[in-house]
Formats: sequence, C-alpha cells, structure tokens
Amino acid sequence: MSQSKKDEQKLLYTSTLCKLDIQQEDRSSHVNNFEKILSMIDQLSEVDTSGVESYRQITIPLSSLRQDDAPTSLPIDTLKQVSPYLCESNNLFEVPIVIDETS
Amino acid sequence: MYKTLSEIKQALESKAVSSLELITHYLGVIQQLNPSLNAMISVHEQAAIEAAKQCDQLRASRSADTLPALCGLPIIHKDIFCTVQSKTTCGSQMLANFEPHYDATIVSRLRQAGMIQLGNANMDEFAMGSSNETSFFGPCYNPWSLSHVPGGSSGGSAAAVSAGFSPVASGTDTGGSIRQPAAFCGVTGLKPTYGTLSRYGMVAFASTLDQAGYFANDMRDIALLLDHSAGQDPNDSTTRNYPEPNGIAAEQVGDKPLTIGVPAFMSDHSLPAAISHAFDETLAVFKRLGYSVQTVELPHSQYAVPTYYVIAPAECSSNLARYDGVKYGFRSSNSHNLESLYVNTRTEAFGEEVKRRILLGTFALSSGYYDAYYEQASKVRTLIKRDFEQAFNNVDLILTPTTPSTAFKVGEKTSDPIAMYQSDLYTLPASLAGLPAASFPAGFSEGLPIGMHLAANRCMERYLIQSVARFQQETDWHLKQPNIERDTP
Repeated sequence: MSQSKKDEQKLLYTSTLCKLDIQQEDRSSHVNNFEKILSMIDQLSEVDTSGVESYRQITIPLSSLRQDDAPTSLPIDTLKQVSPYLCESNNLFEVPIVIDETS
Repeated sequence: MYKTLSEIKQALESKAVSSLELITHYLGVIQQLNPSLNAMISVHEQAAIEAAKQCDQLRASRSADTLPALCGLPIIHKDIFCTVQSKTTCGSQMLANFEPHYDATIVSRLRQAGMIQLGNANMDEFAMGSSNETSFFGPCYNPWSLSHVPGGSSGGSAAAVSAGFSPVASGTDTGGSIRQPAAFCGVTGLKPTYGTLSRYGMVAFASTLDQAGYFANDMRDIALLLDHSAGQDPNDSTTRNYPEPNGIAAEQVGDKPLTIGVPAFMSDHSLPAAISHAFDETLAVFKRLGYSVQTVELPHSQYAVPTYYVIAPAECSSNLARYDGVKYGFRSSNSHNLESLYVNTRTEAFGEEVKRRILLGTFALSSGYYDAYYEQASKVRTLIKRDFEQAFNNVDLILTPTTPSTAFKVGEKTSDPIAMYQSDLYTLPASLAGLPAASFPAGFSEGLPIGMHLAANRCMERYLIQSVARFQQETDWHLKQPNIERDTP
C-alpha cells in the first residue's frame, strides 16, 4: 500500500473518532495538508526529552478553589431560551433514534 | 476625536462631551466604515444608546467620586465572550444563533465599572486562525490596506481599534491572537500572564493556553482595563490574585534599571529590512531610556511552532467535542439517527480550519501516537518554559519583532496552513510558557504597521506596561491613523 493511501486511511480512521465526515472530493487536500503538518511536527522527535517531565497545566493554587457547594440549577425556562431542542412536553432534549436497526 | 480612555474620561468629567454624544459618534464611525472592514459581527446600537443615556443621568445626579470608575466609556468585545441579550457566535455557523444566559466575567466586571459595549467583533472561527479569514461571517480587512488581512484570531478587535470604532477592545490570545493582529493593525495589545483574567464565559479553544487581553492605542488604557477586570474569580479556578485597582497603572518600575534580553536566535533569522531596522530602532530608544541590553539563549523556542500545533489542536479536539447538535448550537436537519446527527452537525457547521485542527488533535491523542506526539510536545513545552526561567534570572524583558512580516495579502496563505502557522513564530513561546507579553507599534513598511514584542516573567505585567508606556512617550508610532478607503474590496 502506498504511503499516501496509508495516510488517507489514517485520516479517515481519525475522522470517525472525532465524528467528522471528510468528503471524497476533499480527501486529497486534507491528506496533503495532514502530511505537511505531521512532517513539521516530526521535528519534535529530534529533541532529547529524557528525564523531562510533561507540562500538564500551570500550577493552580489550592486556595483559589471554591467550596464544593451544589448551587440551584438553572430554571428550565432559561435553558429553553438557550436550547431550541428541549421538548415542551417533558423538558428532555429531543434527538433522532439512538439505535437504528436498519443501518 | 479622542484617542485614549484617559482623554475621554477627562472630557466626560469636564462635561466637554456627554456619554450619549460619545457613543453616537462611535456608532456613526462603525456605521460608516464597517461595510468596508467587516470588523463587527453585531452592533448593539439601541442598548448602547440606552446605556449612554443612563450614564449621563447618573453623572448629572451624583458627584464624580461616587460614579463607577469607567462610567460611559465605550468598549467592543471579541465575539468569543458570552454576553446576555446578544448573540455570541465565536465566528462560527455552529454558534450563529447562540444567545448566552450569562455574561463572561470580564464583560460583567467592565459593565459594572460603567463601560458601554458597542458590539461584538469579528474573529477567526473558534479563534483558530491568524488572518481572520476563517470567520463564518466573512473576512475582516486591515484598515491600513483593504487588500491585506488584519491578523487573527482577534482581527476584528484590532481592526476596530485601529479604525476608530472604539478606543479599546477585548480579545483572546492562545498562541498570539492578540499580539499578531495588534502588530498588523498598528495598535497596542497585551496578553497578560495565564490566569490574570478569568476565562469564565469565554468560549474554550485550548484551555491551558487561552487567555483574555486587550487592545488600545495607548498601553496606559490597557492598564486601566486590567485594573477593573483582572483578579481571582470563583468561576475560574486558574485565576490569580492581582494588585488592587489602580495598582498596576499607578505602580512605577522604580529606580531599578531594567535589562532587555535579545534572543540569540535573532541573529539566524532573515527578516525583511524594514522589520530589522524597526527592531534596531526600538532597542536604541530603550537604550536611550536607560535600559541595558544583553543576549539570552532560548534554545527550544525554535520548536514552539510544532509544539503548539500538537498541544493546541489536542485541547481543541477535546473542547469542541461538546458541539454535537444535541443541547445547543447548530443541528443538522439531515440526520436519521443519533450517530448521523453528531457527524452531520459537525461536518456541516465547522469550517475547514477548525476541522483540520480537530483531526490533528484527535490524531495526536489517539492510541499509538499519543507518546510520540502529545507526550513529546508536553515535554518540549517544559523545556521552553525552563529556558525562559533561566533567561529571566538575567534579564527583565525579552524583545523580538511580533511577526516575521507585516500583514500579508487576503488569500495569500489560505491554501498553505504551514505558512500561516509560521506567522506566530515569535508569539508562541510566551504562550506556551504562560508569560505576559505585549505588541506595540514601532514603525511602518510600505504603508503597513510593524509591531515589536516584549515578553516578561510571570506576573510581571508592570514591566511591560511601564516599558511600553515609556516607549510611547518617546515615539509617535501609536498615534498614526489609517486613511481608510470606503470601498468594499
């Protein structure tokens, strides 16, 4: 299998993980850009990081954490203004069928 | 018209102008020039006029010392900050109709201080871009040349201040999104230390890097805004303490002679002659002001671009997973089951650059590639931070140009993401290390502004503010104004 075909398969697998559909006509440009970006990122492999710890997050002082109090939930009418997908009758989010036996 | 908040404040206090006259003036400028620039996604005309009338009434009925400190002063917010009673789109189709039910902390703090929001500024979609060309609402154009980009992602905010829509605007900076557009548009921009301004109500892109900040013509205006919006916020546990209001603005550097570091890598970079000249001139001004200069080693900064383009997309792929069409935002109408709802919603509503970064981040975090990409980038980030810690043992500030070129042409880099990413070369290291940094105008090349970039150690905003303010007392680059053509490009 050619490198470009492998890269396309890699891209398509990644797109399923992040719930995006890469249209057939866009695949070659995506693969091309993906290859270029990965090649730039591969420069990182030349850095000796043995014994170096990962930089996860800038230190958060524990004193700045708020109390673990449960505040009152937002009123449902407020949520309805933000979300048009709340069902009037039961206040649940309406979505299409979850398990589609035909597919 | 007035160029700075201090001038406006004085004019309001002396009753030389009313808030209503002032706000009407700025709304008029926006109405006249925004069709050419597309710097605004929404303008809150009625609300701004009502707020101005209230400020005038307040001013008439109360003594000056009991008024909110910034009463009646205008501001434009980047359309990434949640604002009640108006849409917050983040430059995306995904949030084109999203109306938040709360204000972001910086919006509410500045509102409480009396500021009047004129509207929301254009931006790259979800703050991903360096040219403002990825906005769902169309590109914004550079006030100095309508055929050039204003930079990004806070391009609308920078263009708005440059064009005189407002003396100040808010922005956000993940890898240079305040500093790069500030340089391209000839205004001053500051990204404070990570944690100085609350991220509550700011749409998330890359949470360990995202930081709010401000644009103005004059650095002292930015100090004033920080005084009234920075500090700990119970809604953002990463925020830090900040000096009491008026602390930073009034604080003097004192007698300590400051030292500016120039990275050794600068001698290897081939910059356009005009930018090199502006850099040398800037150093000369600081030397005249009593600053000393020495070379510093930042050996791992050369890896800042690849490090950033692993970490930021990885965090973005996680943060943007919430946009699935279930609870709020865009929902595809072509879905036959839940899986297709997710896929179609995201595929239809995200733009190309956002998709590219989500794909890249998902790949970097996926099984088999995590160690080689995300883990390695996180370790290189530690090395970049250590380099700065080492450098700040010997110097107080680090000077580079903000960008390796002046503003590029609209469309010039859209098909080449690597070329686009390289325009953040000088701004990314400070972002990865969580440091405060500022861009300020320092020259022109062929009619386009040149910006210089100062970075300081953590929580040392006062060195930046005082140094840029002193530079601006010695020079007049920040006072230049564009002569905007009134033709749609």
